[in-house]
Amino acid sequence: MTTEFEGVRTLLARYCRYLDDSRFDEWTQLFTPDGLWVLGEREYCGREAMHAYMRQLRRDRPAWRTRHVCTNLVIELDGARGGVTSDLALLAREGDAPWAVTSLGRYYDRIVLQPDTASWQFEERRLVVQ
Amino acid sequence: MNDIDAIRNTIARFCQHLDSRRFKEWSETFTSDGVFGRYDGRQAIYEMILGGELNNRPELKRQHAVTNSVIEIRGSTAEATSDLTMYDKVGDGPITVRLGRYYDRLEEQPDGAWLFRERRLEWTD
Repeated sequence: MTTEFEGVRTLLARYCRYLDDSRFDEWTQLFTPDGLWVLGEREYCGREAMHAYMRQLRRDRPAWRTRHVCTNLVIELDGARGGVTSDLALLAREGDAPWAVTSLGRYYDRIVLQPDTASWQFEERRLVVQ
Repeated sequence: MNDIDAIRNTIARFCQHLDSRRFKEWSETFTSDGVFGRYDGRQAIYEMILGGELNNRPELKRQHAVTNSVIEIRGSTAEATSDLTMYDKVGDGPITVRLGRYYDRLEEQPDGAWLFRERRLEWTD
């Protein structure tokens, strides 16, 4: 029997997996329709804005690949809502260059459990780079 | 909250508090009689960290990334081992890595929280 905590861990794992595999449609579906994604100072509200950012990034750096290494999850749940903080070590490579740790940061999440799918989504995910 | 999830939260909070330089909150992941290496008691642990790099080198950015936790719970005590990948970045310099392993004993508190009764870090060098 999966607990809710496992569902939350799976949400965070899918976020990393879909981004690293450039599965942008599935990645945006991890957010609520009016979800908010914040990268430092920049805010992207809604799935289309997030998707557009990723498409632009892929146009600008077509040979750029990432591995999001996410650890240290602190999960606090209150019924069908919750908050999560976690650490990110972002590994990246451009073309055939070696993988390198390019940045360190922390995610701050507000999450909500959708009753129809019994799965968690991000209402807001904020990345603060160290 | 299951015990295992509370234990994972404590293991993660240790890292987040430390890296964010929240030394008081970090020391409170230990029981008041907790032991960290050769430091005995929460107060001694707290004083130790105030003398450490994170409190004395503001240009240092650090992430204690903990993975691969193997946790065994027996009633109101638990043992855990975890891997540490510690990333350091000084100013605009490159990110360097050190590896270690944590060996823990945790105890459940009256309020349901799980805290470190004993933690030992062995560097993998």
